[in-house]
Amino acid sequence: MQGLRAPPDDLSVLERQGACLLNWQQQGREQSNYNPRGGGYCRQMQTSFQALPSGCGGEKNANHGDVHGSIDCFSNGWPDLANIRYPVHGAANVEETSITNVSSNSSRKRKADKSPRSKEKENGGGGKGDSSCKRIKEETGGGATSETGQPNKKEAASGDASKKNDKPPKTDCIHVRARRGQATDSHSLAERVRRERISQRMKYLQDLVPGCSKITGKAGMLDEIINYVQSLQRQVEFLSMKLATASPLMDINIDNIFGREINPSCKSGSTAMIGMSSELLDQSYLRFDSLQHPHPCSGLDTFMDSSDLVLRQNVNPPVAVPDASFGSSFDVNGCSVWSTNLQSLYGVDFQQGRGAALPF
Amino acid sequence: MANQDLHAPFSPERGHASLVERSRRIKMAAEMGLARSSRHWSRALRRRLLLLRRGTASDGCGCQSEALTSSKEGGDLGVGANEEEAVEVEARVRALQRLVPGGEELGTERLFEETADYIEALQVQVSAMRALACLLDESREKRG
Repeated sequence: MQGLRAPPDDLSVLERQGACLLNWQQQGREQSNYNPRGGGYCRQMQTSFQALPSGCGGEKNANHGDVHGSIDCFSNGWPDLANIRYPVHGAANVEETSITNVSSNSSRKRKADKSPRSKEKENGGGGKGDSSCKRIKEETGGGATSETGQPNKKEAASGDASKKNDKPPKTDCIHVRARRGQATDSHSLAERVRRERISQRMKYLQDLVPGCSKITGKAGMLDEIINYVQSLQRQVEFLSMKLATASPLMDINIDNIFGREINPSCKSGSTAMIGMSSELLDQSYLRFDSLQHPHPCSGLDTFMDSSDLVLRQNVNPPVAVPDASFGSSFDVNGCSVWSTNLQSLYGVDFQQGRGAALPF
Repeated sequence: MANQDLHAPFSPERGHASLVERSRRIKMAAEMGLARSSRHWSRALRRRLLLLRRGTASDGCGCQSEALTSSKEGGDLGVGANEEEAVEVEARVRALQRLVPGGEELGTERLFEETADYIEALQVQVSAMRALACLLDESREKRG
């Protein structure tokens, strides 16, 4: 890593970027040291990225997992694009305070990401994304990571206020490096940033959709993605039909679902379900076949949760957990209730030792 | 995701009517499970389900912001692509917008984000339902 350091004037930007790309993994180790929050989250994301595709698609995306782990991540999982442009050298290079910017960008992004979350508009999302993607260089920042508190707010304010900067001032400036032979006006720069971000998303989608890695054209990939989404939706329909046939005694009371749903607090939902599950257990419904009475289970997830507890009483074979990291993939959604319900279901699934449950 | 699809393959016999109704409710319950996260598509799905619940048929015809994608498609996606390609790509993006709940209001970039999250959620949902179906089948076999 140290050997890569070269005076910035001598290398062209492209070469530096190439060198930077080669050392992503190593940088990831370094970066995670500077980002106690970001690094931990990235490792988590790395696990989930590896787990989810391997669990679902059977494809080992270890490389991508590593890449995702080493790239500084947003709180919604998207890599911080701006970091890619700059090679991360040793700390002695004050001009390229990338490491400082990495931590400041990530922590700022985390802050900024939570507040405009509610903004659904394209402009809001685009503006927020742009401001954080454009590299903010602090000439006076130095290597002090403890300063990230105040400079963050300043950067966020300036970044959000102005999406395009024609002549960035010396202090508090936004730099986007231009490649050779490309226009440097703000329009094309913004366009290029947008395009790169979009291609990043496409790449992620490519990893998500099984069998998409061979396809190179954008239209073809989009086709695959569309087909995949359609097939997933069809599977949900088909499985709901199958569940309806498989359990003629099961009755799901839709009325209760919305009563709970309107309450956005997740915790109350889960406690309600746990209460319902324990109620079911108290009445000694120890087997599915004994569910003679149509007890209103609020929602499929409720049913799964209660059934999970029911089955755990009966079936406790010590079966090896085939893919334990699958459970951690729920963190991707970031909804605690989701993980509570479905993770317990996966516990049952693993206990049963059913590999067939893992799809695709 | 029209619920009417469920009725199509079945002749409305006595025995099957309740099956269809049950499966529809299961599907709705599954969708409610999907609609619990705080993502944009999830909120749109919630809205749609609540509307369905109240009986108003809403097909989500939010065509208002399709103009958002049309103007930027060529520049955003196709670097050096022909015009035909850009049009093709744009058509597919529109199709994707219709698939992902709430996608019609989103621009390309956000759309892809939401699509990724939606796909992940669907995968989880499908696995969970599949596991449940397996369990039910097993318990039924045990019963003999």
